[in-house]
Amino acid sequence: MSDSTGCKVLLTALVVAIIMGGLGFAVGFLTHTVLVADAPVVASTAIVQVTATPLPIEDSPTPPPATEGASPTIEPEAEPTAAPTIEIPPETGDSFDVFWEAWDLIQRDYYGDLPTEDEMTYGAIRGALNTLDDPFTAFIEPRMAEVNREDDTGTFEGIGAYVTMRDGRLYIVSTFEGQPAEQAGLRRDDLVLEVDGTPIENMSIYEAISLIRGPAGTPVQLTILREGQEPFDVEIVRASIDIPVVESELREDGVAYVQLLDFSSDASIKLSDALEEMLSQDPEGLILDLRGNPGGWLNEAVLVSGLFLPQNELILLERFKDGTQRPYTSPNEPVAPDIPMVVLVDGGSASASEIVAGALQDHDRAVLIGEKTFGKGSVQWPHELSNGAELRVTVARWFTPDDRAIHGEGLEPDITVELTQEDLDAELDPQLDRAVEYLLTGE
Amino acid sequence: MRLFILALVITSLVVGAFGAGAGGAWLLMHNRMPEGEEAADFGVFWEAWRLVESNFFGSVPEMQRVAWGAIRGALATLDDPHTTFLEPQPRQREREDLSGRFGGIGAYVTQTEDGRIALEPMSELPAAQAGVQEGDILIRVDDTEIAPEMTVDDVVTLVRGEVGTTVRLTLEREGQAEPVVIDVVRQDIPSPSVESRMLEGAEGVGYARIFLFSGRTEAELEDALEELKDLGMVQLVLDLRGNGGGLFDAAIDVASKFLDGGTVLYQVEKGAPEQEFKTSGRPIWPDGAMVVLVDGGTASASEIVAGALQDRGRAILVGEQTYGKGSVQSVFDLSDGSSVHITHAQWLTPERRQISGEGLTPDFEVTPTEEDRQQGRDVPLERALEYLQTGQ
Repeated sequence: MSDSTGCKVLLTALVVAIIMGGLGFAVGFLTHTVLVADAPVVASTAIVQVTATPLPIEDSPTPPPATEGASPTIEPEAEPTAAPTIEIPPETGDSFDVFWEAWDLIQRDYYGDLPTEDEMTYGAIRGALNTLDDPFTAFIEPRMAEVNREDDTGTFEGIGAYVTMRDGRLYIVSTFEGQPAEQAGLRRDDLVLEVDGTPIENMSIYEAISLIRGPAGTPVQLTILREGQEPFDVEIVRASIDIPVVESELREDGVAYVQLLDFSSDASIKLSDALEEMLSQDPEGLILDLRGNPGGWLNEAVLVSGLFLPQNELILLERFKDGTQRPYTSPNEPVAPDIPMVVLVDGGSASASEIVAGALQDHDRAVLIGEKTFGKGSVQWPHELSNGAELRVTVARWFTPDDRAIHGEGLEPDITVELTQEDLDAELDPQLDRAVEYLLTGE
Repeated sequence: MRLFILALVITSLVVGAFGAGAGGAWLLMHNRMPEGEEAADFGVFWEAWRLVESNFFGSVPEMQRVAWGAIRGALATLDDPHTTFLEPQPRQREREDLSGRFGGIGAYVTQTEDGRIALEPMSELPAAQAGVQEGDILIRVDDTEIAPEMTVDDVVTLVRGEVGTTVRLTLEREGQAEPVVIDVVRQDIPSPSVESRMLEGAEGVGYARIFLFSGRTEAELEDALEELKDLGMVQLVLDLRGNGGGLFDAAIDVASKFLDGGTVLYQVEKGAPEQEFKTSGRPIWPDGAMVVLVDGGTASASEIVAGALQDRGRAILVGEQTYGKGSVQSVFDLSDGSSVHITHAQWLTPERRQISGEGLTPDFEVTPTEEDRQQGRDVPLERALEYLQTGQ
């Protein structure tokens, strides 16, 4: 082969190479766009759970799948919603622009260490949710949401206390008898400032709880602020908490007393058993103690109410944002429809407890004695976000049979009796005493 | 054979070129990914917000409020109490306070015991001149009814406005059945930041108090010092107690009145070298014994002045440990009238002391007691005079 031909061939090869390079680039560009950048971000399904979402207890269980239900006639409808595809934002128009103005200014000028963009985004979400003025609609960042999701065993490990959030601060509502929190001396209205040295000021209630929970046997240090005292630290060793459900006693004075501590999935059955046993001994009256009961399953609230009311009686109304409303009625024949009855309530009676108390009060089935209830009559639905974070949104509110709103209001007792710290220290229970008096004397 | 090798070379070249092209494209795209990722990260915000908008039982505020909430939330993650967000109305008030002047009618706005809004016109100013009387109850400002839930601040915002514009006040006046309607033309109302006098019972001792560092402070202080000099001042007590700060430039200017050149402070911005700030202009009173009164409310710009005078040996400090704010914020107005204050620098005294969290320590520490207050005694001032008279 001659040199000139060889040169021509090489030249041609070079040209072809360049063209191929260009083609290669184009193909690479296209495949990258298709394979990576355009991958649709799929959000998780919204878990549609109908629960009487309780006050979050510090070891709140992840609700099990919706098909579990005690009574086949009231089965929570589990309608999985289709996974929406995410449109990268939004037709918000101009008014959200100020956020980016502020964001850019911070990035450019702030003297000091900047948190990660993720952290700032989560902060922005929390700030936006704050404008809704509802502590139960909240954001749980991925790390803590993961911790919450892992625990679905049904045994709770923590300190044994119910907590709530008011004005962005975390308070103890009540402690479980004989459990670490009570033994460590925690009391109602104790304000939790820090957990293991971490201030919980800007966290959502669910995030704060995930810090307090932990494996049995491990210690956690809480910094507590109690009225009239300097802040103090208390170290608590977590335990495996067994939430008792029903305790009952047929008293010497002939009054039947039953305490329901939680609306767990076996609450109505256990309560029914205890009632039947006591009723067979012909008591003078019945006291149902719902003090400090933070709630639980909606299903159970309906069944418990139904133990005392005629079948098909209206127990509550659930109303959604779009105005649709769903009534819940008693499915079964009652176990105790006639015996004179008092329900004991206080500021720790929340959610499902308020459903029961409200239904019995509106139907004049029972007299409420004690202190005004908590005022949580809303349902939250949890959503898992694409980055593993969790968003809980208040989607509905409950109303009593007489259409009274529970949320934010609470129920007023028919007879108000206070229970002070001195009473507790002296082991007196004036609320219980008043209930007994009412049942025995009629006033 | 050579043909074969040639073919091989050509093929490798071609394939290699293709591969290089594709690889290059991928690399290029990947370097641009961060932008895409950024959008995806913040996409979580919109995921969450869309869920709220579709499902939340309750009213969802308008997007502007949501944006403000989001800004507050993002700022909270910085963990800096001085980096803050202000909505338009508070920002307007702050702007007026710092400028030391606003367009208004010249009346005090107060809240009566039963929650109504009363006016107290100041003499020689527009409200008084237009006929507003003390005790008049404000019912309406232009077309806006005064509602029970309005605060004094809300009402002041309604009453203030651009100089030269007219505001119609509808007033309820005792003894008159019908409401009184008065139109007032707004004027430039100065809000002074300096007060001064010669102290009684102390020969030649002048006293000047600065309330905050506004845009008028420098001029007001100059006038005050000249007046005191004319009245025979040879020693000065400068009172910065309870002065929470204000404009950075005003602090430099005030310190400059007492120093003959030299350093007032050093400023440090992130990633930048230390920047020296020297005095501005000529001093008015660079000599003559001087005491600065300070307390726990003496903060920021006030600490700049006190710290400079102390470190340069110009004055001694009497009173209590100061607040300890050694950071400087820049104020940025956002496009909807709200604003962010962002901490963008730290400042150091001439001796390069960093006072954040610590504050300045007085040369003579004097803490007034409740008893002192009840007896109407100003113990730090007494101590200052003792020093000026005895030298210790």
